[in-house]
Amino acid sequence: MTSAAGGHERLYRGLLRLYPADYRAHYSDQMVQLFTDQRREVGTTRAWLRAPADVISTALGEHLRRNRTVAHSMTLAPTPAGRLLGLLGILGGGFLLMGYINLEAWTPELVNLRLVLFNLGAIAIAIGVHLRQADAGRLLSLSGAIPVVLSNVTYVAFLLLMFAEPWQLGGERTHPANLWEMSAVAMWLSNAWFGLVTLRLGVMNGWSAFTLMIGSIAAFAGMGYFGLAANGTLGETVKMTLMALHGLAWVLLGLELAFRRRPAPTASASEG
Amino acid sequence: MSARQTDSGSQPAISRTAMLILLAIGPEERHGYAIMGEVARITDGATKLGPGGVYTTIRRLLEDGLIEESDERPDPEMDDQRRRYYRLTGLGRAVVATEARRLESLVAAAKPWALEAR
Repeated sequence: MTSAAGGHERLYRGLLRLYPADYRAHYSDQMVQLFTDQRREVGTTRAWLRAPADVISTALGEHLRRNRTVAHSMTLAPTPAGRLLGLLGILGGGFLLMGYINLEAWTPELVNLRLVLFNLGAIAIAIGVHLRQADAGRLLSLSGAIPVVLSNVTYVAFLLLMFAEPWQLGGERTHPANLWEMSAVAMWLSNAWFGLVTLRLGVMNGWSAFTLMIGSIAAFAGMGYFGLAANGTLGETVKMTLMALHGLAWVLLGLELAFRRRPAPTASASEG
Repeated sequence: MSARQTDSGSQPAISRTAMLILLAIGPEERHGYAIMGEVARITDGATKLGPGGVYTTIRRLLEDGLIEESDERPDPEMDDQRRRYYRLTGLGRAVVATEARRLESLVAAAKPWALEAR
């Protein structure tokens, strides 16, 4: 095998990570081989043009199917605390999404209140998701949840300070507005990391975690550090769409916490 | 789920992709690449399945008991030994026959006017 062919195989194998782990365990080798055959037949460019749609559509189907067919006996109903945290997360994500409705009623006070409620929802989700996925990797899960809680708490603290003495947002970058902006950076980056950790642990729905990660990065990029934010442009529209997906991700995670059955603790976990 | 119960009887009806893969396997034992090629051939190139489409459907057909994996491996000089071959089960053959008869009756219903009108 040439190194170029090996590179294509590795890249394709990476794409296959979108499938559930049990599916990959059975079929990834065969799929890589079939992709190699396909490349040989129709050419590398054409094979790669077809691959993403093929993988994404069928991987989504496998995830939905897996969610339906997880053995009932291996799962437990959500705890009351889990349901509550999930519902708070749904509300939080909903409040974030409300920002995309162009209302004249959005006074600065209402915007800040909306953001506070969103932050509380994000904190609830971080705690709820950690409780659910800790068995799969306690330290990694904590490394995702703690930064989310701390950064969102900090952000809320600044918002509450601004309630008391409303500094102009987006005005001169002076203390404490500058610190407020830095807390926003920390919040978006920690949310993105949390999405990545959740995706890696694989207990929650992978698409929700992936969407959270992408949406958080879009929100961070949208702060203008990379010159990506430009009002009225296509880039701005794309950014806003991805940021809206970020809100949707919190709602989806909340729905999963509140209503989807959770994995039963493993024997080793319950012994420990 | 590739197979589901119909209102009219106990035989399952299957998705179009699943039916194409069953037809592509036919009376032979075939591996994924051969199945992909055969699906393109029998649909005159109208349906080109990718690896995802092939193997997610194969998985469901295996679970539904419509196909099974062959234990035999090809001669290493003739083919790659890592390939897995699939063949229809008795149930798989019955499903293909039922679906073919169903399609046949639809074609018969259309023939007097829709097909003759061309």
